[in-house]
Amino acid sequence: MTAPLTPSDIEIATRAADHFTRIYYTAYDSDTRLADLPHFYRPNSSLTWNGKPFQGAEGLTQLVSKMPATKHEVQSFDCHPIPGAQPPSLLITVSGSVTHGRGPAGNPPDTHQRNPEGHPRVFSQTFILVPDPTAPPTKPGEVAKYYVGADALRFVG
Amino acid sequence: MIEDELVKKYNLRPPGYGGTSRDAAVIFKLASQLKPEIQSLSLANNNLTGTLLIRDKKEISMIVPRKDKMIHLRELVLTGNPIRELAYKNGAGATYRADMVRRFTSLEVLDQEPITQISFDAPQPSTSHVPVEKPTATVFPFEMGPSFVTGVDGAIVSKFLTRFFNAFDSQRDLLMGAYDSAATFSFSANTSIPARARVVGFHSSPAMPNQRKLDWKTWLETGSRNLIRIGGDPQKTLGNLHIGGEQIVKVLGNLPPTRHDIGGPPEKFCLDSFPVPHGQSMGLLLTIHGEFTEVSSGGIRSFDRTFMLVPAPEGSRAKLNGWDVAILSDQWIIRGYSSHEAWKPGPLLVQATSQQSQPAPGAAQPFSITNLPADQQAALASLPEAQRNLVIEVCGRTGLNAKFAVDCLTGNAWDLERAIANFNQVKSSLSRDAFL
Repeated sequence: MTAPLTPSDIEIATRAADHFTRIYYTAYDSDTRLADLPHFYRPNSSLTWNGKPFQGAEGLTQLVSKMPATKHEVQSFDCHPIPGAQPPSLLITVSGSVTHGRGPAGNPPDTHQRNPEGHPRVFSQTFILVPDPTAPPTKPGEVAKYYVGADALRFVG
Repeated sequence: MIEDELVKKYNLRPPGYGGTSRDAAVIFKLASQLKPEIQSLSLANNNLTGTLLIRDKKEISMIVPRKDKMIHLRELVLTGNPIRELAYKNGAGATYRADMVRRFTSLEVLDQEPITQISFDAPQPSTSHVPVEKPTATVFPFEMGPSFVTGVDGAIVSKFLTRFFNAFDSQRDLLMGAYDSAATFSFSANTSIPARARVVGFHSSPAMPNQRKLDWKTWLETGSRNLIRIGGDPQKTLGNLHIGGEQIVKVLGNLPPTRHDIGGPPEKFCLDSFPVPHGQSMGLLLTIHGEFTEVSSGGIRSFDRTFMLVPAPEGSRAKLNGWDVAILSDQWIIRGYSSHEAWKPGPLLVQATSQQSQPAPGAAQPFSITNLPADQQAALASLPEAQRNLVIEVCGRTGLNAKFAVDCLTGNAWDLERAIANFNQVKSSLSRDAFL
């Protein structure tokens, strides 16, 4: 039998997801993303980007270093503590829109007005955040330090 | 605060010095823009006279809108402010704390008491790193890949999905056995209009006549857990997360009837699935993107659904009901329709290229979908393949554009020769905009 979750588990998870989505996409869209984003990952993190697998913080760096500039807008997110481990891992799903490069303004002037290229895409990203058992608590009140154990992204619109 | 250089420079009157909430709003705005970012902010009542800064939640919202949260703020002291003192006086100290903790997601210490929280190796505030120029290529460095399933027998995944969505569409209480006794479920509505779908005009596409009948009311009223919208409401945050098979199937039963064409054209769905650590053992992360029809209106929506699965334990309800895997967590995002062309494997463009609006080079080739403008191609994407081929045939033989070709075929019961004959009868009366 899996131990049921408590309201406190859910509140802590919800707030962590709120905080995580803010700092993650702020970092992704920043000019210092190459230095900032790998902090969230560990060598054993599994990532897929539109069906292509990458491994760990190193894989993330390889992926992001060649990525055009981004501007994410999170339109929806949800988070569950995953039952069965204490402290629980978190499953986070995000739905939003992402503009790449210069957006529609970067299209050639002769682009047909019904041509969708250059316009913001819809993205769907799933994260599993897991507690790092090797990282000692460094702050008062800290449950654990979490990192991205899994990250699956798709452009879906 | 009165000693602060910024406060002096802008001639602001901080709280306690006769400052108004407008002044306070400016102070917060400036504070949120400082580099390095503010990590600690004390508005405690040391030496304050006159009007105190923060009286109630409304004032907090006014000076610190949710979207402008100071995401590096680690410590906040409100001791002596009415918002705190009144709450404690009325025995609502815990509610006050919970509210502030939700509002400031990065806060670690409030009024000198630590907050129970999960932390991250977040990038440190203030950009000590050198900014890196981003690539400006007009094509993505990696292509869109096909569905990605690894570390698991693909047959297990497809068997699970087929059984799950067939039951979901026909008799949702059959799914009780698929959920673990502690499983979690919630759904979220992303009601934003997808930009590309709007550009190509799906909402008014003749191929999808029921899109205008869709509305979000039912989804929002039956418990959407989009935390962007309801994250500030503790009752909904808890109440819209459903735990355990019994409760979950009860909630599923109240959601609008759906039709997922899971056995239909495989390109309409996209999967990513790989093993992930779960406690001391392993679980399977499974994400599926696709579309479904809302039965009541016939309108089509897109969705993303993420499952955390584990092998069904021996003797468990899942195992006894013939499921190979049990669901530990199920999150469903429902959003406005976008074409499955979004995940069509191949190169991904960052910007449009000039060649796209020019005719393809080379000799005359048989008319194909690529001869149609991108918006018409996209509008046809939602048609079943057989119908799409008929539309392309009509376009090629008559010069009609996709919209009129669809109308012509619809008016002739999708009989190709009847449609062509009908076209020949009326072609002289058609206006220029019926044609490619």
